[in-house]
Amino acid sequence: MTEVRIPKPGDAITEAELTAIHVPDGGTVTEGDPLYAIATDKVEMDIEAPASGVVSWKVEVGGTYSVGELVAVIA
Amino acid sequence: MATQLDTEAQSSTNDRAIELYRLMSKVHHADARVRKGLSSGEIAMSYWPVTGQEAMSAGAALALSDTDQLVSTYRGLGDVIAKGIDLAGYFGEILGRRTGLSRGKAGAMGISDPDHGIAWTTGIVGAGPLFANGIALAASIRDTQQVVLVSFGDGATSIGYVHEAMNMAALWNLPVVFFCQNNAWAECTAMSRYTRTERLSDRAAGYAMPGVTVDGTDPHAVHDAVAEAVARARSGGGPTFVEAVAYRLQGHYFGDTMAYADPDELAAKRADPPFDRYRRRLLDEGIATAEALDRIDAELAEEIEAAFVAARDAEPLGAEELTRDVFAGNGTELSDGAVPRASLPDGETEELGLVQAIHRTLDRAMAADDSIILLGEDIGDRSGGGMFKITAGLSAKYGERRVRDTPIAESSIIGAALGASLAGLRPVAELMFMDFLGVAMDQIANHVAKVRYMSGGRRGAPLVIRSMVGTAAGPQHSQAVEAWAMHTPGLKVVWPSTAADAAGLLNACLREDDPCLFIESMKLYYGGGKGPVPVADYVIPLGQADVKRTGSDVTICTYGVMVHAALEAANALKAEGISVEVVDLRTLVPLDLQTVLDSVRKTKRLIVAHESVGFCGPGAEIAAAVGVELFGELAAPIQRVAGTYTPVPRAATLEAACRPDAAKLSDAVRRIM
Repeated sequence: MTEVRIPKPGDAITEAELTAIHVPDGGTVTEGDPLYAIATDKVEMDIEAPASGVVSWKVEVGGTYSVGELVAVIA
Repeated sequence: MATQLDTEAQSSTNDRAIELYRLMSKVHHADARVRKGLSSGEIAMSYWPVTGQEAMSAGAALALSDTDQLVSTYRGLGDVIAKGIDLAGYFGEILGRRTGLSRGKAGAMGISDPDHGIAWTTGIVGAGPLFANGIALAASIRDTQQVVLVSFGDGATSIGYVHEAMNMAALWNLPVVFFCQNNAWAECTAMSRYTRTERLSDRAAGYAMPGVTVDGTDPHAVHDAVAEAVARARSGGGPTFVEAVAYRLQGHYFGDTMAYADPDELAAKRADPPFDRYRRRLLDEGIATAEALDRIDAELAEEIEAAFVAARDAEPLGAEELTRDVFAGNGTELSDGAVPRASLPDGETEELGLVQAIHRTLDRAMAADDSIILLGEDIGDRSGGGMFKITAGLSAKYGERRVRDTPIAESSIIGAALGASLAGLRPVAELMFMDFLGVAMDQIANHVAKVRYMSGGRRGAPLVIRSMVGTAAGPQHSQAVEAWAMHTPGLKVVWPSTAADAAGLLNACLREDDPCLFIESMKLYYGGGKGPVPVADYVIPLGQADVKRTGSDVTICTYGVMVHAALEAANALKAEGISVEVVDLRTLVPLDLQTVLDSVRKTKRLIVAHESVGFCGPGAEIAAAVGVELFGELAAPIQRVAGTYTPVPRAATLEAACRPDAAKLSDAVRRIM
C-alpha cells in the first residue's frame, strides 16, 4: 500500500487546493500516470501516481488541504 | 590645387587638432598644478596622477557631445577636466573645501557635475560600468540620444563587475562606450603580472561587442576610435569597448615613486611625454605656431591657477555639515515624528497575501508613473513572471522596456537601477533572496547609499530594492541581514508584517527621494501574511511604528514575520493574566524610537525580537537606546529574543531551534514578570 500526501511545491507553500482527480475512486492507476491536480498560490500542477494499483481517495475535489495531508492510498 | 572644400576640411581638421591640444594642455597643467601643490607642501591630500594619460582624456572628451554623460574613476582629473567640469568646484572638492561641488564630502573619488555631463565618479575599481549601464538604460528608455562613456583603468578589467556590465550592455544594446585607459599599471602591478590577455579589447568579443585598441598617446587615434563608438551607440548599434594604451608617468598616488617600474623604461617614457610629443607634432606639421600654443597654455594655466588658489584658500567645513545630506531633508536614522500618523483608509477591503498586495501596488504605481521600471531575475512574463509570481503579468501590461528580465548578475541589477535613478527614473530592483545582498553589496553600500552624501545633497538615488527572507532553504537562502543595511548610512530599511502594511509601505518607498530596502518574508507571501487590504490606495509613511496590540505589562518590539509570533505569544500569555503590547516597527531606518519609548514607559518591560542573528543585531541597538532613555523606569532587564549565532541550518529541527518563535517569546516574558 502506498500513501499519497499533499506535496510542497515551494518553500512558502503550506497548503493546496485539490482541483481534479484523474482516476476515479476504486479505479486503477499506473505508476507515473497523472493521478490528481493541485493549485497553490504559486503553481497549478498535475501530480503523478507514485505507484501502480487501485486508488482509494480520502479527500474531496475542491477542498484545500495542508502539505503532508493524506489524500489517497494506492493498493 | 586645393579646392574650397579641401580647404574647409583642412580648416576643420586643424580646429580639431588645436582643440585636442587645448584639452591636453588643460589636463596637463591641472595635473602639474596639483602635483606642485602636493610636493611643495602647499596642500595635502590623496591624489592619483594622470601624467601621461592626457591624450586619452582629451580624445575621448572631444568625441562626446555636451549632453553625453561621463562616468569616471578616482584617477579622473583628466576625464572631468576635459569634459568641462567647473574648475573651482572641482579643486574645492578634491581639497575637501566648502566650495567643492559636493561641499568637500566626496573628494576626488566622488566627483559629479551634472551640468557638464559628469554623471558620477567612483573610488571602487571596476564599479563604474555597472551604473553607467543604468544611465544609458534611462537614456534608451527615454530616447534622449545620449551616450554614456565610462572610463576605467586596465586594472579594472580583472574584476567581475566590468564583465557583467559588458554582458548586460551588449544584451540590452545600451548606448555605452567602455573606455579602458590602459596605463600599463594596475595600481603598482604590471599588466603581465595580472593577466595573460595581451589586448584587453579582445575581451569584447566574449560579449559580442566590437572591441578596438588604439595608441593612447595620440589624441587623434583616441578621438577617432571613441567617435566611431559614440556614433554606433547613438544610432542604436550598442556598446563598444575602446582600449587606449599609454604609460602612467607618475606613481599610483602622489608619494609612490614607482620603484616597481623598470628604471630605463620609465626614464625613456618620461623623456618623451605624450603632451610634449603632440605639441612638436602640431609645430612640425605647421598646424600651429609656438606662440599660439604658448598663448593657449598661458591662458589655461592662469585659469587653473585662479581656480586652484580659490579652492586652496576656501573655508574649511564646520562640524555642522557632518550630519547633513545623509537623507533628503537632512533626515537621520531616527524618525522625527513630524509626519502625521497614518491610518488605513476605511471602506471596502480585499483578502490578499503579500504576493498579491505587492503585485497590486506595483501595478497601480506603474500605471500612474511611467518613470517606474522593474529590474530583476525572471520577473518578466517570458521568464515565468517571477519566482514567486509577484510581477506576473506586468511585462505584458507595461512592456519589456519597463519590466526587464536581467541576467543572473546582482551587481548589474543594482548598478542598472542606480544609474537609472541618477538619470531620473524610479527603478524597483528585485534581489530574489536577501542572501544575495552580499553579491551586490558594493553597489548598494558604496554607491546607492552614498549618492546623497557624496553629492553634497545635490542628488539622491530614489530606488527601491525588494528582497525576500527565505525559509527552509538552508544557510544561503534563508538569512535575514537587515542589520547590514541598517549599519549603512543612507539606506532606508522597511519590513512589513502584513499585506495591508506592505501595500502602504511600498507606496511610501516609491515616493521616497532616498533608496529603500523593502524586505519581504517568504512565510508571509501566501497564507501566512493573508489579511484584509483596503481597496483604496494609501501610503504608510516611513518611520511610523504600529502598535498591533495594546497591553499594559510588557512590550514586545519586533517586525516582519516575528510580529505574528508576538501576537501568538500575547494570546497565550493572556490566559496567564499577562497583558502584552506588541509594537511592530514596520520601518527600521528611520527608526520610530519614540513609539517604542512611549510603550515601554507604560509597560516598564521590554522584549526586543527579530529573526536575524541576535548578536550585534538590531535588537542590541533598540535595547541600548531604550536603556539609555528609560534606565530608571524599567522594572526588569530588557530581553532579546532572536536568531542564534549560527547560519540558518537546512535541517528543519535545527532551523526551528535557530529561529525565535512564540514559545521563546513567552518564556522571555515569563522570565521578567
